[in-house]
Amino acid sequence: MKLTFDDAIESVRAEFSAWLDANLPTAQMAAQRPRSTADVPAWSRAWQQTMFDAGWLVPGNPPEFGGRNASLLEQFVVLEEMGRRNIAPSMNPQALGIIAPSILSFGTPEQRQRWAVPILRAEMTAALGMSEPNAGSDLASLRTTAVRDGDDFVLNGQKVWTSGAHDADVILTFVRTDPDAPKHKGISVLLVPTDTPGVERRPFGSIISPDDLDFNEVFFDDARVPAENLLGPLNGGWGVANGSLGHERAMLWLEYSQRLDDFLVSFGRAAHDADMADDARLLDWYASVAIDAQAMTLLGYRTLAKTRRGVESTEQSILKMFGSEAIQNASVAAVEQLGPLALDQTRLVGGYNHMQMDAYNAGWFERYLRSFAGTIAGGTSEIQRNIVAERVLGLPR
Amino acid sequence: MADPTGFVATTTQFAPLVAACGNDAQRARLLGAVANGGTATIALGAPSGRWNAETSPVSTRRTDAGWVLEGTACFVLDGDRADEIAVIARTDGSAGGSASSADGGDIDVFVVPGTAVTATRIETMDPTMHLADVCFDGVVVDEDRRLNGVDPSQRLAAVGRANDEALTGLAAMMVGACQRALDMVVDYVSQRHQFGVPVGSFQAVKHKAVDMHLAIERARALAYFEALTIAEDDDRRPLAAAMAKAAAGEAQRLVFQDSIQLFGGIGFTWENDIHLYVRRAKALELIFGGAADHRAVVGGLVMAAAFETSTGAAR
Repeated sequence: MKLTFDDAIESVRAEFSAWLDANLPTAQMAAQRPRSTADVPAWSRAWQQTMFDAGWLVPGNPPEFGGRNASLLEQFVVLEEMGRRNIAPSMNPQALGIIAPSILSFGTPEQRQRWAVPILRAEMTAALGMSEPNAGSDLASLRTTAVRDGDDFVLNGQKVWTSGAHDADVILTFVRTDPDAPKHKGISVLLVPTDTPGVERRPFGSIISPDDLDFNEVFFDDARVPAENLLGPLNGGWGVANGSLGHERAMLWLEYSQRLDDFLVSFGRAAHDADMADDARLLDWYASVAIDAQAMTLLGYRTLAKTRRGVESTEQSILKMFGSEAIQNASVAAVEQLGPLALDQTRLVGGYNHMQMDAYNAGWFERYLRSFAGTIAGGTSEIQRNIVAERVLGLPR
Repeated sequence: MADPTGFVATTTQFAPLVAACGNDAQRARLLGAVANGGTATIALGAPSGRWNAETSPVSTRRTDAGWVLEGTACFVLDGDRADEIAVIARTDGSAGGSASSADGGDIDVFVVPGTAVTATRIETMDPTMHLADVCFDGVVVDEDRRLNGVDPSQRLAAVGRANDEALTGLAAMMVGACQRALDMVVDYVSQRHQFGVPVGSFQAVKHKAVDMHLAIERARALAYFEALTIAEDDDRRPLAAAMAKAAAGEAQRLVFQDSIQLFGGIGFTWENDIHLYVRRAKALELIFGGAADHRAVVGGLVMAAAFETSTGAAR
């Protein structure tokens, strides 16, 4: 066992780092800010295309899909370097992280060219239509229907939490295509352009602010899409869903680990500025955050090592639960420790960073609020505990 | 459950200290004896429960007859049975006279035969752990039993390194004891039926089990990391050691409480073995500094590093 990467891997990191130095947009270029997770300003589209063309956007992909056939560890150090510098590769993260890989995994060659490539090149933005008002943790109970009619599917129903839908060009939509089959076996996936007649999107404010418009309700009223927009097998949508969320979870731990590391530095600075850095009570919980951060990184590396050896890793649920709760615990403690200083909404946690989503340029209280995205979205902490209890510990269902 | 005290004290406490501080001849003699099955331990615990070399309850002064020791070290693993006892003694003059180390160090490390001290066994809440208070008053040792293989300015650091190895050993045992307790809980709640179903199918039970699992995984990762920093001579070692002992302590706190709780009435009996494992984990939490002590170390180190990083980035 070792505590460092091989020189060959580190040389990839160095090459990427030098490339970033030469190509990163300046703060001035990035002045126009995105308003949602599918609103990609012109400078960010250009940046994503630059990364695609250089093969750094998704390093593990072949060059025609924005990569360089990089090995797992090479992909990892690229992600690590971007995280270390607080750089978002895309301002439409669900498209880059979930939707494009799902299309590449389950789509036909034509679908890959028509949808995945434009999404990866930020010429097209995308949103994820999975949850419904009555299908949250129990996603397989979704009720939006799609009925075959000639060469089309006709959709009726409602999605919710469809982040960025009002700014997206297409929604990867999970629909019920066989109402008589068992609930996991009657689901299909359709690519639904948002300009389709009968598709209505209504953004609504998050707990952050009534003006923080990212969540959407999406209504389908006899919306028609061509049958060729079916992704993956008819009634095989559950497999696509698992694949999609698998993409979402695979390297999620790295984000949590880096956010915890960032937190330690930012809060350390704030504590010094407030002349509180020697306070024993503060240091006691601060140490817990540091221990969480180190453990998160170590457990993540262990998962990475297992994946590299081809060993199936059961740790994704544990890491998602642990990382999101660690950030939440750290955030609420930061608010309490800083007291009235945390009332000031404009006091940024870690300073402004133009290469990040604006959610990262937030104050202490907003950080705490946003931490609930981690413990609720993508499978709540309670659902993760059920999964770990049954699949890892082997407890009865 | 066998008594592991002699093995733990000898291999994770005495041997690292002799390796870090002894000269070649001392290492060959003392570690050779260990390799031949001899037992040994270290003594530095103060009555207050501090385990720092600087606050050792034992002090020393040099006389014509040799090094005279004074003071009683507490909570010494195997203290009344070990063949050899390595004692960390302050040289600050509190044993009479002025600062008296031959080479000007703040502390000295002596290896004293177990037969030379007065040891009193402590009735421990973990009956399989052997602890004693060891009185060194009036013990006189020769120069060749003073570990002098390291430059005096480096002696405290060498003792620190050995202490980190000791912490790793304790953390690893705590993780093992906690894992065994969780395994027993999982078996039990899978078999025990109430209301016609295994109690392990209830979410209230599952979620407690998962929280224990996570706390153990967290502690295990940090204990392994600490072992790696020792093996690789990585400079994150002192931080990793404090993190490992703190995380193991946090895990045992949760595992003790929830495993007894999930066993229900049978867990409250002497006849069920679960108490043996959680007693062991709790006993190890109470020596060499508990979770809160080690969090204080971690907090200070990380806070200083964070400030350095943030001011560096601002430049």
